Amino acid sequence: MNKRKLKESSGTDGECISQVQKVLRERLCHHHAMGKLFGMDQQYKHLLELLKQTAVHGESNSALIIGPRGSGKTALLNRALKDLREMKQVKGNLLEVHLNGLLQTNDKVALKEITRQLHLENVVGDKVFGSFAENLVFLLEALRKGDRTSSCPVLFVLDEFDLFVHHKNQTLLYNLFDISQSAQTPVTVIGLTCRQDILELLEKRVKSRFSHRRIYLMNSFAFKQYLRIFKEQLSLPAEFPDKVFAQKWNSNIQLLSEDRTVQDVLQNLFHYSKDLRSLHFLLMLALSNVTVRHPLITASDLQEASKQYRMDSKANIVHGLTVLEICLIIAMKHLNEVYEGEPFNFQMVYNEFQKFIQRKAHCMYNFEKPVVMKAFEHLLQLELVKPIERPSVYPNCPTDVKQWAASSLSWL
Amino acid sequence: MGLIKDADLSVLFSRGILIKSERSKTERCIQLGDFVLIEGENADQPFVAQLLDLYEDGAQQKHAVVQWFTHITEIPKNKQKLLKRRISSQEVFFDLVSGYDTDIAVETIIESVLVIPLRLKDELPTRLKKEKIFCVKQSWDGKCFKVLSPHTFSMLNEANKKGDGIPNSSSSFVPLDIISSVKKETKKVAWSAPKTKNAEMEIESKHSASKSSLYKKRHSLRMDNGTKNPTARKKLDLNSMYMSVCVFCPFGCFECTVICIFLKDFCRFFLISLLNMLESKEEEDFLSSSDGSYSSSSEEEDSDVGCTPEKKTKSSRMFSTPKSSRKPSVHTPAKTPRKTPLLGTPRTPRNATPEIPRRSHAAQKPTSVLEEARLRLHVSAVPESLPCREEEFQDIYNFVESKLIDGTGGCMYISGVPGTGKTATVHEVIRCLQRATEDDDLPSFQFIEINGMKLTDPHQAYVQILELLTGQKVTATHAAVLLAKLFCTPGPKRKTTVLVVDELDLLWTRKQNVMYNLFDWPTQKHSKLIILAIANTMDLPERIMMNRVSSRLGLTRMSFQPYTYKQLQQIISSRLNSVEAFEEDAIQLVSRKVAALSGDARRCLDICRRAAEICEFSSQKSTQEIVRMTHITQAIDEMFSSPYIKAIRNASLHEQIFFKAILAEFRRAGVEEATIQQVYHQHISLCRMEGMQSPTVSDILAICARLGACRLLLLESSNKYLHMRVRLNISQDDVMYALKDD
Repeated sequence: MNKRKLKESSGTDGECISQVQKVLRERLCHHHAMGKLFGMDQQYKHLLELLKQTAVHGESNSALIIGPRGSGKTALLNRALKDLREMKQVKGNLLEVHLNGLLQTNDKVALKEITRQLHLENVVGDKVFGSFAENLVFLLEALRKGDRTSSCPVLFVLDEFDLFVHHKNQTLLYNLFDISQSAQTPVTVIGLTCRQDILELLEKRVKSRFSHRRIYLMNSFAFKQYLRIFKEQLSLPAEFPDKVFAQKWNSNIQLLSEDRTVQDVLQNLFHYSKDLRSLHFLLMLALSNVTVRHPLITASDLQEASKQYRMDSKANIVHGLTVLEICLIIAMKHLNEVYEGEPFNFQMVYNEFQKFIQRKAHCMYNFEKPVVMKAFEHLLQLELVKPIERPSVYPNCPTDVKQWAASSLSWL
Repeated sequence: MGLIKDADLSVLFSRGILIKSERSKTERCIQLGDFVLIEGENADQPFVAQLLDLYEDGAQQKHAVVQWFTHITEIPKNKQKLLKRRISSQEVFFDLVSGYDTDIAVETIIESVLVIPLRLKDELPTRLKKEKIFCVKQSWDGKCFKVLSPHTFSMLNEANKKGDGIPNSSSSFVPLDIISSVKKETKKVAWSAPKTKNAEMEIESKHSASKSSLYKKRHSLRMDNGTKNPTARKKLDLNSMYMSVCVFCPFGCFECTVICIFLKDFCRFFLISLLNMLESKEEEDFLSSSDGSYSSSSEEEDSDVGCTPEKKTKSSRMFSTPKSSRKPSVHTPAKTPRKTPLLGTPRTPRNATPEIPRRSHAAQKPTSVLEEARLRLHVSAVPESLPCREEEFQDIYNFVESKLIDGTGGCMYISGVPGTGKTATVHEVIRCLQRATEDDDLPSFQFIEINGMKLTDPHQAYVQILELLTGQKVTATHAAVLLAKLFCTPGPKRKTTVLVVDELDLLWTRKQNVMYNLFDWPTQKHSKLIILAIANTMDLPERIMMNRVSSRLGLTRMSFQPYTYKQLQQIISSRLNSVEAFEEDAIQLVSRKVAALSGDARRCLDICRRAAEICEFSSQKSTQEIVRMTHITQAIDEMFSSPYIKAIRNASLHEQIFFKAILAEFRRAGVEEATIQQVYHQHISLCRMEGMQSPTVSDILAICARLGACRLLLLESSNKYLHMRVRLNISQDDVMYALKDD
């Protein structure tokens, strides 16, 4: 009887835990879909108002959202768009075109993508699209046809905006901004970028056409708010099915946030980086420790996660080396000190190692040179040692000769 | 057939011309009084005219004097309304416009057509609907339409009767070789006294006595010959209409254009025209039998063409692909007008006009004063007038107007920094000129505009100009040839073209041939091309253009100075136009600020718009507020403040320490560049001083990468690990200032 009861309770617990994992993981991983926005109310209002002007009044606009990586640029935009789409006056009244500088690497690709997302390729039937020039004329023609009051507004979102700046002549940007400044189809161009010097990259004509609206996201919160964000991100929502468990979980989180060690861990992370993505990553690591046997997050979980998160990569590699390899590294370090950072070669390292073996080491086996060589090559592979780049021995070697030297099949 | 050698051309006034194709040895004859098609800018739309006179000038140039007819597409849209009736595409108007040159080069004549004068109420007989035949009901003098005067009517009728008399004479045979060959050289215009009448009679009698089995046999034989080729075969299967082309091409190259008018049934027409063609062919053989060399060469030509597959495939392909309008062959005149109705080519999808879908809810009207103001201040809003550019406006207007009146060409170079109203002023000038032409104060002109930034390649400029001018779509090289021909040859009946080239500097190529051509055309005698070139820099001609280009650009230049604060103030006030939304001082503040920075009107308007927004946010719903100085200051701060200092202040603690470490290292080494290793040592010692946990190398590298992504730091590629060099992207003073307060 007793046993069965235990089993039952653990069964419900198991379901609970998987529920918790699901809820929290969704929150921490898909941070741009539905997550709450922290410390950007002003920016949110500004952006929403801007988008509303386009959608409702048909007013063209352009704006840049600038902020370091992980500061929530995309989250802000997605949230604003989601809220905008739910508005009654806007519903189905806004065409969206999403471009990414990493995907649309030149204007030709970008134009094709725009045409595809606007469903304009239906106009030309199943015909494969023509040249770049025709494409541009086609799209400009399409956008010119419209006017403020009757055409459906188009929202252009340019993610990684700084990469579009490097396109030839900045043709795409010029045209988008030009449309936004002339009486054509109402468009809003929103660029997302992490570069603070973005305006200096725009060509003067493009810059003049850009409205100079910049929305900055700076992670400008203090540690107190950071702690609150931590609490809110881990708390279970009120609509969680198992109310009892949710209460237990939430009170545990409350306790955690007041715990000294937890605060230390968070403070350390906060000092190191303010962006919420690193916090989410830390919480994800801690959350994965939660199991049926270990149903609540503890301070040590967080500490462990923090340790795991902020591990030094090179030091980790050194942990896995053999004694011989460690010896070689020590030899190299001594050489580095003796010769003040001058480069060295294998023979020098080997001699240093031999000196150590002959004089001091009694328990160390004297390896043969090929074996030491092998260990040295392993260190090279791990990139703990790096060969220096040296100017080529034969400086003015013709290119075809170089190619010939590189491959015996190059003449084919 | 009545061909007179060049030696006989001493006759100064002739009564007709004979157009002869050298390859097929066929001719057609056009007499004085006949109606002809004349090459237009667009091969699809030749002009219609009546041949009045032919003469030769001293330089052996053959000229023709014509009476023009105007097609409905040539009449401006707003004037078309004056007609108050539907116009069929076959109707033309007796042209009484004085501006057009009636003296044209003979080479531009394509072929003869029929123009039938009709009373106003009459309709063109339905059986004639499909054919290349025109009717004329009214005259057009550039301002209004009039009914044809009895004299004109009878004159036209007269001309027609003369033409009707010989409907199936050789004058109606269009040499097909001309069609398939692009080069003009194959076509030779010879002068002749009017053909001997008896020859024509012979043809006619032959025609009536046709249908001999011999001909049929021969015909079928040739049909077989023609279909042996696989490509041709395929085309035959596709569409029986192609057959007439595919079959005819190989042998003889005759096509009957006039006979078909009199036949209702197309099939019957097909058969008979075929027979007729063979007949005349036979007759030609018969006629030339006296001249052995001629006939043999003609036969040789026949068989030669008949069995050469390339030739056939080429011609058949030309007729079957819907794209053919893009091929160079377009320009051969005789084919194009016939091709479209015959094949019923599906319109190429390229011509489809795309459109952004309509919005589902109507756009909201502005509800408050501030919203109204915002709308008026938007750069896209077209103001009623352009204040502060009156002088420039007048200069450009006078320039274009004088050129228009003279009917000559010219260039003007307009420069100025962005946002000074160059393009807006030019557009305003064009609008005014268009209004003037509507009121008939000025000769009408064609306005086209290209923008260097909207082209993917400088050479695309040709393509766009040609397309805007004539609607043709061709490749860049071909477009250049066509345009050069258009502007450099004494073109018949062409309006002046006003071409605006925006962002001229983007048309620069290494050889500068695009710019060279653009500025060379206006200097040609007959170009009637006015170019307004717009660019940012005043010294562009001296800086990037070769001498021969800049010399052609000429010295008619104008530069738009940046707006002064008074002008900006006036611009804002005129845009607001009695909407009480801004304080007077606020407007002045914006104008002074922008005038000091750049004088860019766009910036000025953007700031005002943003200020109106800020004002709207901050004000309570109930109280109506107007934009004050504070709002403007806030907007200006938002737009022009440097983000760097704020970014450093909001960076995390270790990031700030990293900056301090960099500054310390720079000071120690005396060089504004350091490796990560050096900075790391500084960083650790700083951390020790502060009593903080020192970060690992990985942490430091991550911090470094983050700051590098924001471009607060400039970094080398990260594979150098600790030896990566770091540099500040902002001045040390700024960093120090940003870090001081903490």
